[in-house]
Amino acid sequence: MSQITLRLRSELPSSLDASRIRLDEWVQLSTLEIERFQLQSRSGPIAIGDLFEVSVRSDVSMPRLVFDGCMQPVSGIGFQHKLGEILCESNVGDHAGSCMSGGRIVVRGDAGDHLGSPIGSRTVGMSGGQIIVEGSAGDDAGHRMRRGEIWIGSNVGKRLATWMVAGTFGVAGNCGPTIAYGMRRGTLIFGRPPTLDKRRFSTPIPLRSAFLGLMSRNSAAKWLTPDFLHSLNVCRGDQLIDGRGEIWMPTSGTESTKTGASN
Amino acid sequence: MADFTAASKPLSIAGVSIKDTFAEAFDMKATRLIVTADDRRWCEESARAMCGFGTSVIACGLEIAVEQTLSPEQTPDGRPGVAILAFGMSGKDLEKQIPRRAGQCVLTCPTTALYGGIPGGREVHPKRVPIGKSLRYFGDGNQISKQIHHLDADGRSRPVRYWRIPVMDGEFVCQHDVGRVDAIGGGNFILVGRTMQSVTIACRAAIDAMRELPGIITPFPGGTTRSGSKVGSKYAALFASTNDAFCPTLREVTSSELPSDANAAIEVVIDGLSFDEIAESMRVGITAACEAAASEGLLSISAGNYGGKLGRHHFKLHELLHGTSSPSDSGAER
Repeated sequence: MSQITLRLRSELPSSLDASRIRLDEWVQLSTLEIERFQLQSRSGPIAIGDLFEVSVRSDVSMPRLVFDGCMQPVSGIGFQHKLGEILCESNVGDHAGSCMSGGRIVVRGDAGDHLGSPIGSRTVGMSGGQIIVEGSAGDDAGHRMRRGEIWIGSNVGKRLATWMVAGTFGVAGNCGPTIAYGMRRGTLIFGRPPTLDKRRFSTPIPLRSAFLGLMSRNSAAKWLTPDFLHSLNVCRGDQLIDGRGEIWMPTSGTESTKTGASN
Repeated sequence: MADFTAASKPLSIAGVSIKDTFAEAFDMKATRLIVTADDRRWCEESARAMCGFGTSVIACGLEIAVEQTLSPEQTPDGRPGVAILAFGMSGKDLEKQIPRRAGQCVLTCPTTALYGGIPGGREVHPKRVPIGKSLRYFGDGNQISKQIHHLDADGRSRPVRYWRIPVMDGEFVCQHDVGRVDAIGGGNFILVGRTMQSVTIACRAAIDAMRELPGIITPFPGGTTRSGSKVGSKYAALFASTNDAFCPTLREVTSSELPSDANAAIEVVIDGLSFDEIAESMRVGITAACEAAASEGLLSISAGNYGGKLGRHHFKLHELLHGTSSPSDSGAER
């Protein structure tokens, strides 16, 4: 197995599509082959070697792809990712982790819109693996999420986890309007009380489960401390579609509005 | 102190004679379960129920007992727990018995949760024993499946699935399934004494010494049985019957293994996950028994074997007490 590092050495074009990159295929390639690999931009194809300094280490057990530098204009990082770890040392663009089914993506900065969501005409979002964003994420994160985990260290934008089917999505900070619209199953965990639509979600009640102990020991989110996990409320929804999803939130200062004030 | 003599000569520990014989054990399938609860008492109540009527596969379906007590630091959810080992004659027996016992004895006990205790997922142990996979239906559609993500060293995601089943005290949390492994059942040694009291002292010392050893259980009451059996019977319907060679009342009318001054014999039976773990437990147990009861009338240590009719794993007492016993000695392919 190998660790591939892409170190930014020139300014990125305004838009670059990285959805062709597959780590499970790249671990078979030589440094030269990776340098010649082409990505699409608005101005046409660009070779990896023209934008990044490529280095490959083969003495590691886990396949790993490291993006060193700000990747804000790069969309589709980790598209259909299924094996190993993608580590982004700074921000990433839209559609990071779209349709991923395994492995892990770690973003040391912020992520753009559509994190872990379907891309194009696809109807299934993330179906496995784990995304950890240490900063914030944009709009439409976790759309149609079916399996796996997403952990956000700060805030998220609008329309979080709409049409969520299953999986676990945690947000340490605040989130924008329209939370979990059409949620069928799955778990949303908030570090701060969210504003929920009372028509769609049940009244929060105290959450008591041995599963909290499991989460406390195994979670990738540092903010899920034992103290936090043992003072949670839970509500269920989206009741308008007979959904059985659950939303965990801190007991103190739980907010709820009759119509979903921020929708 | 143990007083070992050379392997080829008569062996004794603290003056107790060790017979030059072997215990004969057979192949089994096993799994380990971990029960946790809010407090130690609920945990032990549940484990006691789960392990009830689990002494012998002859009639109980499983041989099952508590392997070790676990501190909160040792359990998956940070609560007090116990590790239970269950042994069956086949994988199907485990698959049938474990969900039944879990459903009636753990699911029913307040605050408990149930986890698999055999490390490794489907890729390591493809043959699995269902737990939550069966019990989830009790949730009547309100059960919740949750996976906790694990990334292995080779970069592959291997999530572990748990079920959260709504019950009257909150939720029963249960792992989806647990791996099963090849194991050995029927390791044993027989304590022969001048009086019942002498073998009781010896037995209790042995069981106390073996209690915290990993990978083994002694499923009979108090770790021992007085009704040691031989293979076969004069009655066609029975495939096991009393081991008359060790019955004091039959000493004069059958081919007895008992010395003339022996009036009681009991058998410590051991199931284990590996040959080495059973051998080590036998060594520890025999040594502790001899040292505790030599002066109380413990006369000798023997073992149950059936001339190769029962199993392919042979635990030779002299070799294991000299530390030279190995699986290759048993004639078993490992």
